[in-house]
Amino acid sequence: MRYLLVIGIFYAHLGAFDTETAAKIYNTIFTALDKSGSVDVYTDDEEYKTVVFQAPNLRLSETSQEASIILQTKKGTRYHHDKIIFTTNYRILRQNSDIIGAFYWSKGRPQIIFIRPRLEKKKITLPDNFKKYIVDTL
Amino acid sequence: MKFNFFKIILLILLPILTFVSYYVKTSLSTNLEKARQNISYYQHKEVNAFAKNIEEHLLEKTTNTPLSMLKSSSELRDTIEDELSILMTQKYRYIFVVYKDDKNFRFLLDGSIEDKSEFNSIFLPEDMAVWKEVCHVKKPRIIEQTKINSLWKSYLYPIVIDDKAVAFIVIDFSAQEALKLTEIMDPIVNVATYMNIFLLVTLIITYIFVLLNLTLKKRVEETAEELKLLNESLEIRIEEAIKENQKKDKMLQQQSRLALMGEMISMIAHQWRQPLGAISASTFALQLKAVSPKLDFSKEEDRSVFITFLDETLDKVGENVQFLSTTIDDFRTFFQSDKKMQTVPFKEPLSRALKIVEASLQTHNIELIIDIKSERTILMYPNELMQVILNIIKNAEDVLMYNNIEEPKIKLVIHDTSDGVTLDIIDNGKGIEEKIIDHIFDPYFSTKDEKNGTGLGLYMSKMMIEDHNHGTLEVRNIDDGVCFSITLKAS
Repeated sequence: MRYLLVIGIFYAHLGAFDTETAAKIYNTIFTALDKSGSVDVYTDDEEYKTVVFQAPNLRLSETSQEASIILQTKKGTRYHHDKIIFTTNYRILRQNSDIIGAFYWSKGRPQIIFIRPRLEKKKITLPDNFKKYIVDTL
Repeated sequence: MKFNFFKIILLILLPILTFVSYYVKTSLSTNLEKARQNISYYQHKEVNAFAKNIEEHLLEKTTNTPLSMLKSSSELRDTIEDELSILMTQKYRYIFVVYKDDKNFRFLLDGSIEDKSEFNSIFLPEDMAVWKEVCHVKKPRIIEQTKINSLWKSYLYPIVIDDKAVAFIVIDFSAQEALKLTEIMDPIVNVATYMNIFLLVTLIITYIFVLLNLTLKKRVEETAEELKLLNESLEIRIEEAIKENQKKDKMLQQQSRLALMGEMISMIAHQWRQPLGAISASTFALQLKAVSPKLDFSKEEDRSVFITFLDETLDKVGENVQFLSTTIDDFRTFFQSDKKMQTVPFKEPLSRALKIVEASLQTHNIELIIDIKSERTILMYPNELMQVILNIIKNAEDVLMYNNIEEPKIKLVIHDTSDGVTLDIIDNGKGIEEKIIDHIFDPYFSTKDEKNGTGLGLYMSKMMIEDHNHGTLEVRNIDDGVCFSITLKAS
């Protein structure tokens, strides 16, 4: 996890979106959220589709119903309440109470945030190394 | 001499060069580190002054209550954020202010325009522990981003009011000035380091070679000394071996002579048999005449007849005694060593040898054919030649007898050749087997039984002809026998 973040920082400083690195980071986050081994992910963002496609333990779902995790990148879209929804934007995370967490860049630093009440609501337990990213409120 | 001079120069120059390069490399590294520290020091000082100015401005704008005023006034936030954005350059990439609630850091102000964070949004620094420590100790701190090659540094400046860190000014600034210096200087330091290593290795190799050279030189000298000693001892050993060989040859010669002497004695006995018989017959005839009834010694006439008979008989006895004496002289001459070489014709040693062996040949009905075609004189040791001729003739006689040859013959031919004068001794004794013919001159090689042969006769003969008289002794099979050829250079 730490290693992935370091890679993330490096590429963020270079100012490039590196699909391979993003794939590794999302692979780690999503396999921590869904421990079934192979995670079905849905996203309507073409760039993130490539990311999911390159992640070794993630499978790209064609519909949000088939997916176990939904990666939301844009405002406005509403997905099923029972799905785990993750976002790439702090504002979306704040606006939609169904979203359990976000991964985004702020001031060249990777930001991973999980909201405890939302995790509890979805009965999601994260591994110990994710505890430092869990916040009570936004 | 020239080589040694260069070697000495090299041995002196190399350590000096190595030391100089080491000194250059060390001082370069030290100075680079110092320069880097200086750059960092002044940069940190500058950032600190920069942060202080921001703090002062902030406190001035918020009348020393930054947290409550900024939280409550979005207009004030916007104004200060605009001011902060003006301060942001390529060197000062991000300038923002955060505060800490019970658990998390949250954005208070953000000077960024593109990547602007919302007021009060959560900020999770990757090195949270360090941030919390600054919060606790209330002292500014530089956080190096070592994981991305220290391209950027963060300056975390706490705004302390009433001994409490109410907010933190965060300035992300570039550390590239120090890095640029490193980029420029590192290759130079590396070159100096490689140069130093190269010189050091060269120095070590040179010293090893010099050491090896000295060791080798010493070893060569030792080996040369050993060789010299060996050579000296070899000369002594060769000399000793030659002496030993000469001694051995003398012994062999003596042995050969003794063997021949045995044969001589039998030949003397043979030679003496006839004159002794004649003497015996004469004395017996004298006795018979003395007691003969036909003679009356009272008569003058008979006494005269007896005296005449006595004179004749004594003359015969005298002749025979003379013959015996001559025979002894001949043999005595044979056993005398030649002290000087003499210039004589080949027939001389031949006739002397024949005198000794003739009687024995006659007894065995061996026909002797002598053909002297050359009267040229030769420089030789006659007695040695006589001994050789005798040896070969005796061997021929033994072979003829052993093989029961019906008409045994020995032919002696003296003739001129391109090399000098040659004596061929030819017999019709069936020859020598081809497989042994090359070995007949080897010492202790004999076809006779132990009683009759020592295996030294022909070996000594070859030695006497070739080593003493500088001639050749060769053998070859002919139609019905063998031919020994003694060739000596004519004088």
